[in-house]
Amino acid sequence: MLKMFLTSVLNLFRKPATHLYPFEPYEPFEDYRGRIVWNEEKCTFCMRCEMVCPPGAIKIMIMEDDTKRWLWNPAQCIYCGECVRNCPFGALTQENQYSPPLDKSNKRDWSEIEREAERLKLLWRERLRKKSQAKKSS
Amino acid sequence: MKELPPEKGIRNFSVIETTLEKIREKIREIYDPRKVHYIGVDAYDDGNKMEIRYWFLKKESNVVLLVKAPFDYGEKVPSISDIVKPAFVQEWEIADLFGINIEGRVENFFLTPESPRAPLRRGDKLGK
Amino acid sequence: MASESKNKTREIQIKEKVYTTIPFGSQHVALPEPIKFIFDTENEIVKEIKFDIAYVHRGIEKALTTMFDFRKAPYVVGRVCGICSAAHTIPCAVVMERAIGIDREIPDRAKAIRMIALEINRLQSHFLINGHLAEVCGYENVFMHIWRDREMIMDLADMLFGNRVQYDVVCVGGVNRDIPKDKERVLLDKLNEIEKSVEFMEKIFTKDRTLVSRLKGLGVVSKEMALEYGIVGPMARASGVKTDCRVEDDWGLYKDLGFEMVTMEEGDSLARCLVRVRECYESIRIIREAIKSTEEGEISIKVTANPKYEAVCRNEAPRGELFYYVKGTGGIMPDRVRIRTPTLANIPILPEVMKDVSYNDIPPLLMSFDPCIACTGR
Repeated sequence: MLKMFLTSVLNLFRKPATHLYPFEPYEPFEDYRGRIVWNEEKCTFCMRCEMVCPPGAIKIMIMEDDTKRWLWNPAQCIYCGECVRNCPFGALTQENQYSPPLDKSNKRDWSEIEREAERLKLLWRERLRKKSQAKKSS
Repeated sequence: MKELPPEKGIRNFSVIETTLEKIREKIREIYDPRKVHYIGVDAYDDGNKMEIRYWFLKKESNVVLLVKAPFDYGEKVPSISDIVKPAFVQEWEIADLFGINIEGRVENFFLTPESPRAPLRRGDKLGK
Repeated sequence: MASESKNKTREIQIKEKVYTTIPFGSQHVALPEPIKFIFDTENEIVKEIKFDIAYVHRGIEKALTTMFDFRKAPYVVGRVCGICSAAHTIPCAVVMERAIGIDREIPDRAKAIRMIALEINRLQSHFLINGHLAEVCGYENVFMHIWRDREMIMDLADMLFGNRVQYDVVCVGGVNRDIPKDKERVLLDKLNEIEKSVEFMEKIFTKDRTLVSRLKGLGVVSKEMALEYGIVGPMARASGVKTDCRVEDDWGLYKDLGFEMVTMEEGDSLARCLVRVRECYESIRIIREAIKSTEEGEISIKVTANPKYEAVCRNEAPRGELFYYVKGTGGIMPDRVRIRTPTLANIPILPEVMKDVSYNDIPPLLMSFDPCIACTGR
């Protein structure tokens, strides 16, 4: 009984077990698997990251003028880091920070992007085929 | 787990092939709760024929045992839940997933009524 | 006159045994997950039980054969269940390796890290369910204490593998990240703290009058019954059945590290709970041994072939035996994947155990069986 009383009195002065978030900033661990950062200069658009991504959160768009875009969906990503490990040129890195929350400025219709990427890829293949045929005939 | 020689592309379990009529006798022969642990029921559909599979574990030798029997689509499959008591839950589950007509099955045990019918079935689609 | 007729109808009712039907779930305070029981009760005693688990089927078995190639499979099955994520990824990776034929070449360090992931997973799962059991018994203070200590284990996983819940550390061919020396030291320090909180938990569940009197003798499963219904995991070990897939299957180094099985004879809810508490000691010991026994080094091998054999793997998840079967055809996706989750094996006995139990004892009884319906639905 006395012990119980002592504990309860001491508990009044003890620090809370939870993290007082807005007052104490929360630091993720050093090796936390956070957001994926893409380095445009190193990237060669080999499409390996798109192939190995389990949920399909990375899409590469090949525009009609042969410029390429790398797109990543932070809401679909499972942050496994498979793309980072498989990148042969070190163009992808994983930071230990959380990905930013989605709002109007950075929210995109991902299903639309997926469809568009598939369509553009078909067009690209068609162009490649035509090019190789032209080479053969010449 | 005991390593068995990989024959016919099978890695680490042994197989007993039987027919649908004899499967109950076969399992009655094998199954003894003290010596054999019942693992589960499974089905397999290769597009032409279906197969019902019962998985057991022989406790002494630590060998996984597969008892399987092929059958045609729509054939009535006998239940073994009077021999192996806990079998009924997984029998009803695969009945829902493959659209198998197993004795004593309860409809919509594993899938909701509005979900697609028999999602794991390949040939002879039930549909709608 | 009116009262007489009333009495008559009551007599008829008693003769015909009119039961009161009480639905329990699929949304219930005691249940975090969707399973629906329909109890037919006579006064407060449960007489007949029907159950329904048709709520959370996600078609993961189908997705593994149609959408994801075998290298992505461990990441997919990690999402079968949030609590036992590592317990699912490991047998999936092992069964794919067996189907390819490279399971003998996996380096020891990778095996040790897999074991560490599994045991940390087991620790947090056992803390979770024991805390939840205390809450269901109406003892919220213990619940909060245990869950506070569980946070320590979650942080440990965060530090080692980079995420609190989904470790995603296991891949086909080994593991993704090594545990460096400085982290090993932190891990060993933290394990001492966790051991203290396990001691606290054991003290509570053996000495506290409220919990002991509530759980003792509730839902007794005899050894014969456990064998007959083929139940698995801590529930079977609480009834004295010697079964543990960690020694029966050989994907890890458990045999080399001298694994001791925890069994009890009573078979009631308290025994199931205590088996889990005592397994925590064993898990902590295994983590220590696994770190000691292997050095930093090679953690994965290159996978070049596709699965072509049929193979099975049995793994001891926190809730019991987890069974994976894969049929490979040499293609990039397997032909059939079968996942038999532990709860699927433990459900058939529930109606038998719940019979003739008072209705207010159902929540602690059910929680002592540790049902995971998200696993079951897949």
